[in-house]
Amino acid sequence: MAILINLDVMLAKRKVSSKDLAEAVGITPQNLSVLKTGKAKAIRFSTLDAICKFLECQPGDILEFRDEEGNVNI
Amino acid sequence: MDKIKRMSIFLKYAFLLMLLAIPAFEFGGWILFDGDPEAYFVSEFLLSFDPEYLGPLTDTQKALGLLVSAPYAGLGMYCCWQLARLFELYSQGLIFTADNSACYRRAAWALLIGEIVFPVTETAVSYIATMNNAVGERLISVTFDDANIGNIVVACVILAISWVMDEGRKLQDEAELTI
Repeated sequence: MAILINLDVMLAKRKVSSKDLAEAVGITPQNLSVLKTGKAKAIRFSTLDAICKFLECQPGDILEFRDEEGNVNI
Repeated sequence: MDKIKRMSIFLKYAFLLMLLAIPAFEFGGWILFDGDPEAYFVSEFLLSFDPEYLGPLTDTQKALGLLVSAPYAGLGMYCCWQLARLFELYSQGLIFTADNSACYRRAAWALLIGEIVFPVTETAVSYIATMNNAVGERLISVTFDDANIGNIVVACVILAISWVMDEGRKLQDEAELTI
């Protein structure tokens, strides 16, 4: 997958547990785990909005694009 | 969902019953056939015969008849088994899974192959059932009628449904992984 989820990094930076984030966003810890491990096929804007609001960050802090070689193309 | 589950349980047992009934009637139809086409146990392949060509069969004829009609009966049983499995999944609340679409697909192929096997079997049965008749009363009949065409259409529809179900399964997988 070319889109990487850096949710663990943001959780560590904000010193927030996955459980707290799941509760605040209104999703199950299992679904949060699916998101964190990159198994999710899509993320709803409402979920992204709630995560960004709770972690006080931008979507770009959570989502990152890398090509097949692992390079970040901007 | 309760409605689906209730009906699925009923259909599962109905297909399991048919699964047992097919070999029982096939076996009974050949072994117990006494030359009377109006009798209760008559193989479906003998039902289309003109009674004047049909008489009591020898044990060899019965055994050969049973042997050649076994593949068609086997396909019918396989189709019933797949449908019983499908309704078992529905009764468990599993609607869009890979197993469901596989059951539809296998049942459709069994039905389709069955309609290819049917005329061949019927031709073989016509020969076997009349091979001991007097010269001039022996038959080799090849039948392919609107019932066969109807079954082929039904099989194609079920096959198309299996593909639709598989697409539904992919959509459900995607929906489940949308957070």
